[in-house]
Amino acid sequence: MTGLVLRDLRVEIATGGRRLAPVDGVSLSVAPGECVALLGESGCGKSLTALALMRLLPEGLRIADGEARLGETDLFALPERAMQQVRGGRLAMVFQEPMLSLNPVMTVGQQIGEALAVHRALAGAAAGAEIRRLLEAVGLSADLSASYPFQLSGGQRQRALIATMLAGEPRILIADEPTTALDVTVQAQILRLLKRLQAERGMGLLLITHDLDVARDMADRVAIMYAGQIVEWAPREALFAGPVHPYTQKLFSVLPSAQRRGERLDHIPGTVPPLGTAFSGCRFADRCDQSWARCRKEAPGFHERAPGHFARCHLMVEPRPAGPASAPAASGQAVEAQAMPLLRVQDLAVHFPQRKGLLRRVAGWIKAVDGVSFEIAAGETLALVGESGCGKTTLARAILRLIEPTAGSVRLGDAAIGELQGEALRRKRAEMQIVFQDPFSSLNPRMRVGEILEEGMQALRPELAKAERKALVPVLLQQVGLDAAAALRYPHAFSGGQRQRIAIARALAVEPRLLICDEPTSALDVSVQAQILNLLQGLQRERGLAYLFISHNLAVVGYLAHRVAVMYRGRLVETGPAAAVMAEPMHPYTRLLLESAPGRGLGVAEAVEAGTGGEAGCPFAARCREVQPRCLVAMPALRRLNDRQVACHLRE
Amino acid sequence: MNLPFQPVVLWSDALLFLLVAVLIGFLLHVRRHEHLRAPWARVGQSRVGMATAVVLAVYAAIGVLDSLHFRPALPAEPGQPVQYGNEVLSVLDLMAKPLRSQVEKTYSAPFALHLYAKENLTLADGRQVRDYPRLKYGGAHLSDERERAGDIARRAVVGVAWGLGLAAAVVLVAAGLLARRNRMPPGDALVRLARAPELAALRSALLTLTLLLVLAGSVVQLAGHYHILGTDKVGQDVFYLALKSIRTGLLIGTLTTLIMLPFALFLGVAAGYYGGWVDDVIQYLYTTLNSIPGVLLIAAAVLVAQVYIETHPELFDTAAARSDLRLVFLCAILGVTSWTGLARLLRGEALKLRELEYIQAARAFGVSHLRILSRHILPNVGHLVLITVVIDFSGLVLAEAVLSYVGVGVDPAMASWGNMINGARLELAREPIVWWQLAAAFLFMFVLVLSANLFADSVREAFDPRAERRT
Ligand SMILES: Nc1ncnc2c1ncn2[C@@H]1O[C@H](COP(=O)(O)OP(=O)(O)O)[C@@H](O)[C@H]1O
Ligand code: SF4
Ligand code: SF4
Ligand SMILES: [Mg+2]
Repeated sequence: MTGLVLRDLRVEIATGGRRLAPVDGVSLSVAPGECVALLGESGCGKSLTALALMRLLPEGLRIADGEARLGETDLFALPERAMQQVRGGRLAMVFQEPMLSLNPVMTVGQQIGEALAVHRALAGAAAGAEIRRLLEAVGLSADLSASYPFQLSGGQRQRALIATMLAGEPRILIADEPTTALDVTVQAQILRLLKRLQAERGMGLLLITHDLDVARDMADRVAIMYAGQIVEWAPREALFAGPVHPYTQKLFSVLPSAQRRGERLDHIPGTVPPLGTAFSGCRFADRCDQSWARCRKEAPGFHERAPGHFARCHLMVEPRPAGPASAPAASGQAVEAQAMPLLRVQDLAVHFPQRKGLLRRVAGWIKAVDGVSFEIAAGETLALVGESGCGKTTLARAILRLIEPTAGSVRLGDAAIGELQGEALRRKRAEMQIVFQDPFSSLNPRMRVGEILEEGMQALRPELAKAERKALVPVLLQQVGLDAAAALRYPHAFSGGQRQRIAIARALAVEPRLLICDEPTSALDVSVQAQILNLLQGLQRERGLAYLFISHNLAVVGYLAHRVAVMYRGRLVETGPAAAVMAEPMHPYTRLLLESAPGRGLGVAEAVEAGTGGEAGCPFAARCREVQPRCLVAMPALRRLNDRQVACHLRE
Repeated sequence: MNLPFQPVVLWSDALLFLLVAVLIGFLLHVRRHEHLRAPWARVGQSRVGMATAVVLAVYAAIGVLDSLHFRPALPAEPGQPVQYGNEVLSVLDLMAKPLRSQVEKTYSAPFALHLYAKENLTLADGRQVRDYPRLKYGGAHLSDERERAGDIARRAVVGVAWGLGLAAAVVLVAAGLLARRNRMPPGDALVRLARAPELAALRSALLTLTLLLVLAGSVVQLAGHYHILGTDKVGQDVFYLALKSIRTGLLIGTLTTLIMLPFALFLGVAAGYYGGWVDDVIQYLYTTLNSIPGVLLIAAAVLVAQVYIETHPELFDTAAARSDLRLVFLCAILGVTSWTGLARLLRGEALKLRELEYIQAARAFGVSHLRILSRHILPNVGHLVLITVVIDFSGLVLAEAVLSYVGVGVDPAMASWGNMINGARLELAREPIVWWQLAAAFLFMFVLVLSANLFADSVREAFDPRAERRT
């Protein structure tokens, strides 16, 4: 067999006199032409496994044990020089962030050429022809050979990187979260590309991901990783038909989707054990709702449940003794929105000047938000979806007046936000707050959590005395499910999900009526995402909060939102009740988004990547599969159809 | 008041004390904040960091001793009010009295018994010869010149023994403290001190200290009886001059920073945070400043200051006060020309921070600009300021040497490495060559700059955000 076989990999790191093993006994194999997905939450050791295979572990980490065979070659026994030949040759790797893996001062063609020279001794005209062939194979125009990485879009960069990696004709390609930084539409394209290349070249693909749906679309076999070990290893059909390990089962049950609207999501208590945790039995025991005494005493073996289907759990060989069953997930009722609009946005526009030349004269305008109107009622959730760069965050900031809008008006209750000044604006600000995407940059690392929570109150609720403010801090923390002791600690002591809770508590401190959530869960693991979504729903029930929920994850939107607004290049192209829009999208762009969402197979036809279309016609015309002659000359207006609105000539 | 001395606080002394106070305040602040303590703890774990910290501390101690100035009382006639001399001395001068007072006629080599220039001598039998005369002080206690080697060796051994004894005492005290903190018998603590891997940094600090103590012991034994680094043109002890230069070097390295910091902080952060026309004005300012050659600006400013000092002799009651003012002035002008680098760095950082979400969140709360600057931006650029200051330090010490050499540095009467090098310049052409003055300045400067650079490296490493993952 010429595939990749990894046996009992153990990666060690020495800190403070202790040896810790972020990867502890991982075995897997990838056959030629096969796709294996390595799936797990962040920090479980997926990337380190991949880097160990490439022998590219960061400083301080080393391979302590294990064997890796690529065909006949023993990878861990090779001298470094020979390994350089293997790396990028027979064994190649694509990283999550293509901008960091491409050399910014070399053109794409030069980088591919370099790989060709090293691994296939190609030069001159032969190399030039091969570069063109490779670029076309990854769906890039051969003209891009002379471009520098910064001139490419995110998807193009990832394609260019894949082309570089293909140059050595690898037998095995490792892809570490190759699409995590990309939009769903681009993600679908890249995944399709990888699938096609794998089939065409009979290449083995080790796909590292945290997304069950991506694994469902791509993998032949799936390995589920938890705390440095593989806990379940199964053919795809078997796994998706019936996961047997309690952790895998939980991973399935925390996923939000439109079908689960109104249900409280199941959740996994606690977080992934941090590196350095001492385990005495099963590593999942603390979070497992089926654990019993044996789980804490004895580490489970890796048992074969069905042919080829393994799981690391005592339940595989012994039924759970009778005992108190874990409580079933409580189900809450869907929150019903009220009719009275709380926020009314009318023709809002934000145009950024584009300066050029020495004198920085205004050469043009970037219309980040271009005439957007919508309403949100008290207690309602409006989801705003669209690809990155379409203006969602700018819109949010303009509503809060963190950016001055160019035109249009924002009314909150009875006040026009745009006309307020000074004290009045300040008071109104207390009524709308924001929760940001990145839980690591949204909290000042130099302030204690208590100070962070108090800061807003101090500015917006001056009527509170210092002692009253201090007394509110534990109440707020408890509302978002944190310990009161958290107030004395600094943000770095918290995990991503906990930080997001702190950010929510900070916003709640000033008692807002509207909360703008800018992709609040996209940086979080699925189990933590479920906790945050449950929290947001609970708060809405208790306080009648309205949410403007910005997201690109359509499953989350379908689960949470009452209404959806789809945004494309600064304009709304479709709005309507969430269930209706998801079930029956009317705008071609909405349809594209829905079809690109992972987990539905990869059957959609290739869509053109976002380009800059003509000025006059429909902005989506360049990518639209149903484009008509009049689309190129006339801009479709947003038209009302019953309870929905669509901007497309097909719907007139 | 009939004190035997009158304390004198020169301008630079006052600024130095201010700096020490700021440092102590900073240390207390760091102790209280966990996130600030962590990177310093990492510096404490670094062997190079601790070893160089010891060297720097010794330099700093000498500098501070040399900054406690006073005027001694003149021998008073009974019944008269006490009169104080015109000469300003420091505690260091007092401690090194023999070095200061034992002045020869002119050059003499290290450990020499004879002057470096021939003179007409009258021998005991009345004959006149031209030869190298014996030194007045260097080795004067020797009756037979052949005893020199033995005498030096004897004194050196005694000095080394002293040094080792002191070092042993320090180690025992350290072990005792360790024993108390960990509640273990002192013997075990000693073993741990010698073996435990987590105390490696402490061990290198102690080793460095031992080396320095041994060196100091021998120097104390020898320096009173020989000119261990020779004498200069007017017969002053070169070792003493090099010691005195430490204060000058340290002041230039630190005061400049103290002066430059407010400019850099305020202008850099304001430019980045406010943007718009504020940014334009500040950028214009530092681009303009940067495009004038620094040396020209410094030369012009120093010359103006010199003229001012010379035309207003009534403002200064002592010569020391005069040369001190020139030193402070030099620091100020160096500060004014060197804030641009840090300001540019801070502008970039503030530009980045301004867009960060916690700042946006603060703005959504209507927090005032001033508060955002002081609570959110400043604390988050602190590490950059620190790293820059530590790295700039050695550059400034070297700059002093260059400027004094060019003649626009400190007062020629002031002890400084630059002046020593400048004085040695011409004598290099002499045959046989006078090398010790240059070598002494070089040695003292080299040790300081090397330590500062290595220390800066470990500080930078400890504050590197990537380092946080490793712990
Ligand atoms: N360079 C490093 N130094 C120390 N620890 C590391 C380093 N890289 C990763 N780790 C630790 O190893 C564990 C696994 O990391 P990783 O393989 O990146 O997880 P994943 O890819 O599954 O998200 C984590 O606990 C992480 O903190
Ligand atoms: S061994 Fe026990 S604790 Fe571990 S997953 Fe199985 S049931 Fe849960
Ligand atoms: S208006 Fe035309 S181009 Fe635009 S979405 Fe509709 S069909 Fe497509
Ligand atoms: Mg990873």
